[in-house]
Amino acid sequence: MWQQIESNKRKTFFILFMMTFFVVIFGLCIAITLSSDIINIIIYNIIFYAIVIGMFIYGYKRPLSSFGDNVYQYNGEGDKTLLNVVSEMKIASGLTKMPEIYILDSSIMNAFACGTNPNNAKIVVSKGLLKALNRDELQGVIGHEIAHIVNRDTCYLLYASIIVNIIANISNAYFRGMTRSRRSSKGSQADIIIFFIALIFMILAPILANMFYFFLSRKREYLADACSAQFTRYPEGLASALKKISGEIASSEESAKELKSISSPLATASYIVPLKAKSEGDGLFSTHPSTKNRIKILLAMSGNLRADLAAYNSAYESITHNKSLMKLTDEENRKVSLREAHKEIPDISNTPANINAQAVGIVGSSQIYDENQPIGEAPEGYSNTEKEIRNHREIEDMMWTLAKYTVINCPCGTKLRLPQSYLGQTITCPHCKMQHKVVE
Amino acid sequence: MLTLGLLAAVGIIVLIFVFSTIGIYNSLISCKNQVKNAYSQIKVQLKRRHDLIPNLVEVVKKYASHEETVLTKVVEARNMASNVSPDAKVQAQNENILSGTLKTLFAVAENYPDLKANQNFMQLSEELVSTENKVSFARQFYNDSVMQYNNKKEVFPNNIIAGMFNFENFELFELDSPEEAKAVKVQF
Repeated sequence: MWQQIESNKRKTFFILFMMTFFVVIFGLCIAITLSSDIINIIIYNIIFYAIVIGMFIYGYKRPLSSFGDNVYQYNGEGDKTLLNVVSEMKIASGLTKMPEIYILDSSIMNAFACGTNPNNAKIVVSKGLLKALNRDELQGVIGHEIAHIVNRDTCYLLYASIIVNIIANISNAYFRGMTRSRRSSKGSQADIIIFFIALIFMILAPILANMFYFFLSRKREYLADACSAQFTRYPEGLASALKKISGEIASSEESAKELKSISSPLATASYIVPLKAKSEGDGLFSTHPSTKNRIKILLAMSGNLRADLAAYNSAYESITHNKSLMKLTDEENRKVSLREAHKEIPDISNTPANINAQAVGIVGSSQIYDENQPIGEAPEGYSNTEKEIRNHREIEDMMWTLAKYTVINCPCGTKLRLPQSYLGQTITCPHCKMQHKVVE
Repeated sequence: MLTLGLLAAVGIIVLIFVFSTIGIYNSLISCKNQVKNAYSQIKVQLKRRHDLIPNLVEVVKKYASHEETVLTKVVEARNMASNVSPDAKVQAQNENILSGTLKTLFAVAENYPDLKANQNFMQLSEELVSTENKVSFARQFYNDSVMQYNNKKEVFPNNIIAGMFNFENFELFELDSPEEAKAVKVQF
């Protein structure tokens, strides 16, 4: 997958370069508007860069600590499902080092990835998410987070968000202090023009920086969705998870509470689904694409039976009627097909009371019915489907006898199946209401 | 003076060629190593599966002692597969057979509620499900790497260099039988 990373690096590099350039000009503008003296300009620039570096250092340490005590590290104690799901995605994505996993003690369903490069990556998953999602959905979400790590989004978006913060804060402070520090009014014509250009730039800077950042963030979210689908080969998992998460967030009071406790809007931008409804949607000022669109695109992919990036692109274009945000290199442009959900080994978490549904489940799926090992040959003259149905019914009957169920054939055509624990002497057929004696 | 300028120009062109050749060669090597790495990852996961199975058989025996045939089949298949055959195709077949026996074992285990409620069994099942998934993802990653490598090798300027240095082709890892791809589902 390093090819993908290379091309992403190149594409994002441009935007980040622009943002850095932006900051440099910003610093110059501040200095220019404060003084026309070259030495002072240089001094102001130095102060500016000192502040910038300070904010960077603070910003890189922040993400995990902003949750304080609610986060604890998970090393695979107890239920190993989460650990296994993450290692599976690690293998599918080609990451060399297993990311650290943290669990957030909160019932709000969300997950995010942080860390400055793939070697010190961390994934945080909330307890609410772990409870609500099944294995495939959880894998879709983790795939999305690992895609962020592999594409180095955690690094780039952090850098970009710090720049936005810097510009916003300094611009704020500057305009508040505007009345005090005045430029010495020596100016010639040229000086005044420069002054005004710099001023306009400073007013526009926060807005432009924000727009850059939001654009980058949205593009990266789509890319992470596409990569997740490609890793899991099962876009429906992520689609289903997104449905659950967005439904829960819309209706829950706790989200509103949590929202108030998180100060910076940039922290919420790294969640898989934003907590603020206003932060989503494909408008210029949203950090995340609209969840509805994301779900639709993923489902369209599974409708077309393909799980590759090109399929994501075409689904994106057909649903949003916009040109796709991802340009694929030759290496990325390959067809990859879906797989069925990983149900090779049946889900064993059912209670005995559900054995009715289970037995039908087993027989109805591909697990026992293996075309390479047919159990019982169907008589000649039956079509393929009928043969299959006969095979299934034979297997089904076998299963019931193995489980020591009593089978009673009611004349109305219903087969009554009673577990060993059934204590009554008679049973009433639910269809024709006829009573049968229970005979061992 | 003219010849000097000409020499310099030729020199620069040669340098460009040399550097781009080095660049392409290096990226081909990286791709190739990623393919080899991915292949060994598959073997790691398959071995892990071999190691988990004896425990599973022990636990199932306690609760489902009548299921002799199924258990024996699993053990036999596992032993066949862990004597790693040098022929990759034969090995792949053995692994496939082992997967089949495991599926039957789990289907049969559905009938034993005590077994299903047993902590050990649940943990082992999760581990086996996860290992099956990991084998599957490792294969997937290997195939992806091979496709990437092949794409890279066959694109225009690269294929010349690949030819010059004899970069070999890798085969995609087809573990499943083609029928598995069209899983049959009969709904009642």
